Amino acid sequence: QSSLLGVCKATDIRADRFQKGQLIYICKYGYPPQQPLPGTKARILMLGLDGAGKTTILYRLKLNETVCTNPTIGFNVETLKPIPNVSFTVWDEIFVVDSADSERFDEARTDLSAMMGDDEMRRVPFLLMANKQDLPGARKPMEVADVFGLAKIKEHTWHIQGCCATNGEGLLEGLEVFINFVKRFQKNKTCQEG
Amino acid sequence: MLQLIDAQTGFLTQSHTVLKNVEEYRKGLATQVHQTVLQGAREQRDLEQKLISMKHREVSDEDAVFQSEGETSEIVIEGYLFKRASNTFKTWSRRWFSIQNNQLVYQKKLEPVTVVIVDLRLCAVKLCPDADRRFCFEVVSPSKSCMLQAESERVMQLWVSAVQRSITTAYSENKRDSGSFRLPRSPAEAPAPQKGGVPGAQDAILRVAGNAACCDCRAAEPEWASINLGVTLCIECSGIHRSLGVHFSKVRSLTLDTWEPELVKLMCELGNNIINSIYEARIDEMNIKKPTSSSTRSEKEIWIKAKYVEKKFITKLPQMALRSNPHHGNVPTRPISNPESRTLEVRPSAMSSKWPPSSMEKEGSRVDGSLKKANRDVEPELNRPISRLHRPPKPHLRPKPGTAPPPPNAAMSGMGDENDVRNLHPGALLYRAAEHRYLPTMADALAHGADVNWVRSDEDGRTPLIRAVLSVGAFSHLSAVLSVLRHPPLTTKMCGFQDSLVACEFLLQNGASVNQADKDGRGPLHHATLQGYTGLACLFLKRGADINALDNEKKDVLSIAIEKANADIVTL
Repeated sequence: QSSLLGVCKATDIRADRFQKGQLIYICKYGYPPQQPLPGTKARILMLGLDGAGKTTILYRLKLNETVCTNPTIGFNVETLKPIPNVSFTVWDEIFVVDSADSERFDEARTDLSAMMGDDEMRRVPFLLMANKQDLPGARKPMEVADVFGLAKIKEHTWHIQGCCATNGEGLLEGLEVFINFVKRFQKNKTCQEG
Repeated sequence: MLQLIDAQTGFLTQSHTVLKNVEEYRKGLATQVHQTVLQGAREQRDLEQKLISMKHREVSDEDAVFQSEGETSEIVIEGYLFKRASNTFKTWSRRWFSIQNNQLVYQKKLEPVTVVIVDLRLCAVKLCPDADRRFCFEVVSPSKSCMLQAESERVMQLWVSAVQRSITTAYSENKRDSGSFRLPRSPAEAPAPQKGGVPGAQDAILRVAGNAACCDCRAAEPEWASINLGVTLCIECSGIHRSLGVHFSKVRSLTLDTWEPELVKLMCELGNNIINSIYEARIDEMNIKKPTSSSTRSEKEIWIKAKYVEKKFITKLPQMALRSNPHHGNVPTRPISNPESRTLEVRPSAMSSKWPPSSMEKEGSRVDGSLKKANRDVEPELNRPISRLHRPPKPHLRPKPGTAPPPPNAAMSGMGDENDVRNLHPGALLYRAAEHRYLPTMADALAHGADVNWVRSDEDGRTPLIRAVLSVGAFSHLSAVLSVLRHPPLTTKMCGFQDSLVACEFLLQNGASVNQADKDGRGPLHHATLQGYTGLACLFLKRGADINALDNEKKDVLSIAIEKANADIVTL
């Protein structure tokens, strides 16, 4: 079993608000959550502003090396092995933030909350990756959580993880916590439905 | 015995006759064989030629199939592909595929088209070298994945690039004609950040001198930009800029991002020529070759790091002061000074040659006395470090690779003279440039390590940002830029305000603190309110200025606004 980690293009995520559009678009266009990609049971949507480090995180997880990236147009899809026994149903979400770019926290927060406010995402857990912890002026994960007002979020289970995509620090730890959330979420959901 | 010889002779004669008869036949046969061999060879040659021509025809067949692009605008590419069924059997079937209207579709005989991918913007294409068949590629969308097989390596490459190309064009089309491709929006979506977008921002920015080619590798048609440096970039260089971190370069897309008016103006005030005259000032002298668009990524990366991070090619400080104004190709934006105006400029300070002659001249003629007085007030302090700089350059005068900008308040804290030279000079330059809202000099000062929050101790502890706010109202030369953007004609007062807005935006993009207050405890927002500049107040609030901050008289911004009876700011 493996999971699918889709990286949405930066610019889907903002500017002409395609990012929110994107999520809704997918759902509205009859994207059937029950029918995942052939051969995959899990899927995660990784979102965030442009330059937050989504592509770098993706390939760090996939290849365990730092790739040189250009701005992604469209999106990247890779199948990852190291996530066992999880079946993701909806687009479980990882949101990536450039911790060194505090000026755009507001923009990122608006995007995150718009996506989390969507009906399809109700109570879906999410992981916030405070990336680029290696850069000077990077905010600590707890500061980022404050700015994003995570403490006020009651509807979703969340976890914030400081990380650095270029050396891989924090990525697996964050993913591990996240997967536990997702597992628990699935269990509760099936209980409720049953 | 004789009988025997006779018999023998008879036999030989007979044999001779017989052989003679046969000889003709044999000769005939030989020619026949020869001819047959020749014919065979000829036929073989013909066949070979036919085969070659057949192959040629096959290839041109392919071309015929794929050349259809361009003629009909809707169909980008079409042709036969094998498609793996998505059911459990995974059987392969041959279908006529095409990309049209931003969709991947296929047809079976005369049936109507079946849509495989509804919107190519939501799909990714990749090669599948591990698949069980040759020449396979996969088109992945959120809802399904489709394995396709092409007839040859070349055809596969054509398809993959066609899909990628249509994804790219679909994105930019979406941006350009906002009508047809726009996606349904969610009610939760905040419309606010959308409205600031300037139509035609890309054109306006690319029209600036030097911006038609990537700032770092000269690749044509750059679609990316660095908003704190004010340059345009190709996608690869933008990727490298992004990897430096936002404290060096903030990358945005010209086509895919929304551009706010003040950012567009910032870009129009700077541009590749001006920035390269700062960051590449010494490459001729140092005999260094710039990378080209065909250079490898690592070559470009080394170049970009040397240029912006290590700042290897900027002038050393004393030379910077003597350097003439960077030539500016965008003539209408900023008139190049004529000789007469230069004569006005002749002042003892070497630094004065840096000032924009045009703006100085105008200001000089308008607020003649007061400005000159102001200059005289400033000069003693500025001259002190400069006269020191005329000595042979000391190594520490150059911003060293990796040195952090000098800490704020460094100039105030009464450090030694040596430190004064290093810290005060670029900082003072930035401060003066902010006063005149002249972006190229501000960029130059920042390149030389000016602290963007440098504090002017003898002017109430103001920062360049506050200085830029206070210089609003003077005449400026931005009207040309504004008319480029097809804005309605503006009054001189408005121009000054706009210009100041750009200067503030530039300082903020380069890390200026929006809340740093002067000696009276007033920050940029206080000053903007006091002066009644709604636009600036709006900008500062957008950048997170603290609306509740109190000055030394314990007044917050709101009460100042009420006192000044400025309804616009109160409602903000």
